[in-house]
Amino acid sequence: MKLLRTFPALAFALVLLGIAGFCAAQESVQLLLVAGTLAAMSWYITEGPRGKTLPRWVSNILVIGVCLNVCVDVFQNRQDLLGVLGRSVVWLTLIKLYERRTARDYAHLLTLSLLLMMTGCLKSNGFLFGVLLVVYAGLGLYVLLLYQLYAWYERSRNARQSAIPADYRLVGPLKPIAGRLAGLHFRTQTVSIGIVGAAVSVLAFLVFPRGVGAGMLGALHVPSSDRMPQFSWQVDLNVGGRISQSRRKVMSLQLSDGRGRVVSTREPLRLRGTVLDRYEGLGRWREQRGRPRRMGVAPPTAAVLEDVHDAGQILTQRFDLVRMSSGSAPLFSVYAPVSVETDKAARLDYDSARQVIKTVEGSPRLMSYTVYAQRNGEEGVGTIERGAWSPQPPWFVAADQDTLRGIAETVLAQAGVEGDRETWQWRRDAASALTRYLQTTGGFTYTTDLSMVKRRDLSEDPIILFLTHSKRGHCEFFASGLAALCQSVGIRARLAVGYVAYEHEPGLGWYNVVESNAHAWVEVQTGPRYWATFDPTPSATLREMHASQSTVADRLRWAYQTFEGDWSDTIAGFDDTAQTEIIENLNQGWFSRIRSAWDSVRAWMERVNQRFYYGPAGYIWMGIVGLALVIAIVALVKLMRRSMAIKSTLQLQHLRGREYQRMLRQLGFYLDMLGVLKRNGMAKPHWQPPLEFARLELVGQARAAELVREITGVFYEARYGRKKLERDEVERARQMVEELSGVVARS
Amino acid sequence: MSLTAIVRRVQPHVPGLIYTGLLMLVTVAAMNNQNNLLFWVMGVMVSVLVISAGASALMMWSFRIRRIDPRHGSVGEPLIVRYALTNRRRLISAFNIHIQERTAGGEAGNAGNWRRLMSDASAWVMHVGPRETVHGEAIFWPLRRGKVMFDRIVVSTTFPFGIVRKSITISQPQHTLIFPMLYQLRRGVLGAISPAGLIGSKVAQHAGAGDDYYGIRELKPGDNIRHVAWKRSARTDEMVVIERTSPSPARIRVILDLTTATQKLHVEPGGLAEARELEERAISLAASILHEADLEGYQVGLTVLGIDMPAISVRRNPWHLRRIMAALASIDLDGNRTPLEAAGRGKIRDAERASLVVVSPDRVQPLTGRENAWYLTARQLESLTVAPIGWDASKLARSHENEGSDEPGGGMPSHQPSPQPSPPGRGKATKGSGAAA
Repeated sequence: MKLLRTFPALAFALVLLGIAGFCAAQESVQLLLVAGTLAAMSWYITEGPRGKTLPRWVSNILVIGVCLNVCVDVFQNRQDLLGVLGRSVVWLTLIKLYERRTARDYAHLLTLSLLLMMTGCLKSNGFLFGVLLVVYAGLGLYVLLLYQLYAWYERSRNARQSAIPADYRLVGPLKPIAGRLAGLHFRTQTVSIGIVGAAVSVLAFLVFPRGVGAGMLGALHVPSSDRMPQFSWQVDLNVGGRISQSRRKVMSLQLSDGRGRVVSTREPLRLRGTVLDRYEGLGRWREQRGRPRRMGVAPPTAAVLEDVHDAGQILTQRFDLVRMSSGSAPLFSVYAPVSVETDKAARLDYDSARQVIKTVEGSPRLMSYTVYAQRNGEEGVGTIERGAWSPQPPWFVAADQDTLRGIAETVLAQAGVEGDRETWQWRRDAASALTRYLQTTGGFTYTTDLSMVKRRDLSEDPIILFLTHSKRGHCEFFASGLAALCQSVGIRARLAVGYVAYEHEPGLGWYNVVESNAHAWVEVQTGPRYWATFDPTPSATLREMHASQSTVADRLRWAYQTFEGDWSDTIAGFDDTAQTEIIENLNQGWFSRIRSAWDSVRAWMERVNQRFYYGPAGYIWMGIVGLALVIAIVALVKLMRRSMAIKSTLQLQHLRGREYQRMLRQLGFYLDMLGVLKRNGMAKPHWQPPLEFARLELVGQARAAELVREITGVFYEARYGRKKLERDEVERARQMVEELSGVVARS
Repeated sequence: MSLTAIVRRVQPHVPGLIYTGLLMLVTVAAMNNQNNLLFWVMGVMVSVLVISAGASALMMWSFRIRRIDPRHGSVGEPLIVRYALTNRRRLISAFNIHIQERTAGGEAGNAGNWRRLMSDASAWVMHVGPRETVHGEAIFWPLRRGKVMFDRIVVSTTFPFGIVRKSITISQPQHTLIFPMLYQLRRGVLGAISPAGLIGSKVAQHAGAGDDYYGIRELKPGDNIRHVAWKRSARTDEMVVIERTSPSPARIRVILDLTTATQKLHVEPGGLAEARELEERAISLAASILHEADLEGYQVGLTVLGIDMPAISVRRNPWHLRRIMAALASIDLDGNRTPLEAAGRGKIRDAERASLVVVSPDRVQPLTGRENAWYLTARQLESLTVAPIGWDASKLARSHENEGSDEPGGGMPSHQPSPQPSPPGRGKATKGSGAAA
């Protein structure tokens, strides 16, 4: 009874969990606060002897109201039909929570909560929702099993009460009939069912083919987001959402050199993700549309991306990355790559104009790859060859070139950068002067708060605004300003986008990269094949911002993010490729295990044979011994099963010692008699005594009835009369069983 | 009797079909979205289906059930049928066990079918532990007296998820008698029938535990020392004890007059059901008088006229009363009737010195030479009784008042499940009048 009393509270908890799950999937805190509060209040209002519940007519009116609200909601949120469905189910659940709750109402509530979780499944792949789903599954199993008992108890009680006539005065309460330790057995059985269920569901999850029937109900397909946090393939200065103060972890990485030694530098690591070399105006940077070269990389061979002029000047950068989420991302590197090598076979897209590598199928969370780069010995000296650059590059279409050029020329004149503009050296000097201008002398201020910066009209270019008036902005403004100034005086420059890794854990040798480490800088061409890095963002501010040490809260958050990453990698991101990998691994594993087991057995046999000097005959002897062992085991199993059957049928559980052994040894003939009768279609019912059975059921078979009576008599004498049967008596009983077998078979 | 002891079966179940449909929907949704959480949900649902089939089969595989003989029941009182459920599994407990009685020959079945005499009922047992025997009970409400035949027991469970129903059917034929409905007599009715009462009425012709002197005898081992006649023993030099008389309680013999065939009873034309109802009431009245007299300490006996049934002598003990009730329960009103002249012959002995009560269904037919007997009719049932035993008389009276004459008895069970006859008129008991009240 105590078991059943827990049901209402547990069912209520499950319903709350369903509401919380949907709110987590919807990422709606407001809904959680409102619905959660109303749901929690319902317990105090409706439960208990003084509880008040909504009359049915009121709840029916409310349900109609919810239906009308759904119609309105559908028109307002046509793109979010699942959200509309989920919200309406939340309101229906709340109405049901305030109603009187019978077993049927509980069934409705449990169904509604299940519907909420299913809607959540369709809306979200998130880790938080996943955790809630796992908790829901565990609690739901317990509640569902308990509901079976509760519903039947209520049904049985109602049936019994309704059968009692109204004026009958002896009405006793119905109590559930249960054996000993019902609660313990119930919990044990629930756990067992949970374990078996988990195993079967994992199997079903792994085995069910992926990719089959995808998008067959296209309208309901919900695309999943696999974007890497705070990384984008373009920059828009008008939006400014990429640069944030968030300490959310993006990845951890370890950098090693060619000899496998972990590298840690005092200078921050600029992890170059992509390069944006096309300015479309109005603050928007894009990639220059080229045709990337697609190539397959298979370890241990490295894919050559560029021609290497001096093999002695190759710099090896080996990256071990643990990203917090899988999905589309570039291969980060510190320097522009000339060749690349991956630990697993992969297909890559390489854009030689921008020296950027992307993975074709997306990147896994755990990645290891080596990027080879040319050292700065390639940096240009002397004059620039004809055609190496053009004064008005077609890929730069900034608005007011004259203003930019005016600023750049002024800065260069003030910095005293003079000389032949057709040399690489002048370009380096000019870029350095412009960088210094933005960093220190120009009066620019680093800020991520752009609320004070107001554009005078929509056609005003954010870069011009930044360089001429506001002089406030974050790294993308600084980088864009430098690139624009360089371009205005004919220096080829482009925007590099990625992360700057400051936080290094010396003990582990890992860099932690968080969202606030997102950064942009400039690459300026200072050689025929060399692009030098210039970072115009004020270095002091940059260091101050990015070098903040992680706190305990950060570490907790990163731990959560790690779990989230594992979740999305193994559960949410499980696809046909992963499925194939698992099956192949399993196959290989089984074959290798069987093979190694067989090898060990064979080696052991050889050792034994050599030890006893039997030669080839030794194997025959071992075979004979093995066969004898198998026969002995089979015989032992049969003997044990017969003993168990005798013990069970003759109810010898309470006997011990010699008496038990004697009965086990002598009274097998009674079991044989029952077996003979059963095999011939005359099984003795459990409830019927054998003599009664012989009298009533074997009417037409006088000899069989007589034999059954005689055998039963011998059995009764030994079992209940405690008579020690002689060997002859046991033998005689067995003969009677054989005779009975013949008699009933003939009849 | 069939030897088919156990039939195991997986029965189709509506929730199971709904669940299968839901599983297919989730599968389609998961395939469409390629959403791994939905694939998980689908996997869980598949496992639920597999476990439902497996767990219920495991639970019921080694299950044993036995009906415990309920001995007898009475109309208007609950008949509790108990079942011994044994779980022979070593580890697995059985939950949510539902037990139902089934008839052998379909629902309508043969004449002994229990459904003709009782409403349906079932037993529910929440839990039977491993290697444990638990007793469940089903409460039937008998509607008519007679002999009921139980045949098959169906034990089923839908545990753990209510999707698959696994059942085993066990054949255990058994019969039980349903006694007539017993009423509590109004105060004074019994005293009117036997005015002498119990105290000092008669003394038996043998020694007993009374107060009066009966005689003396030799002391025997085991005699109470208080009973020793010390003076007499001292005189005769032989230990003797005083024996007391044995009081002989008053005696009542009820004669149930069923000599008139049902069709010939005095009822409104076409009122066969009413006639049968009168006969059943007569049986109930006779049973009630006998039951109450037995409770009051009378010795009772029964004679049924018109039916081929031997007279039951006047005695008093629990077994005797059960015998009388069993005789009344097994009266077959559809059988042949013997005329009054032939029926009364030799069935009533003068020597037993018992008060006679003649109970007839519709009208009094005086027995020859028994003019001093009490003649009652079934129509007088309400006037002679308070309420059926176990029923709340005040509630019954209220329901009589509320419901008027259309539905007599309120919630009181009728002798027949068919539409109720109009209430019989209240009469007055007559003694030796020879006419119906």
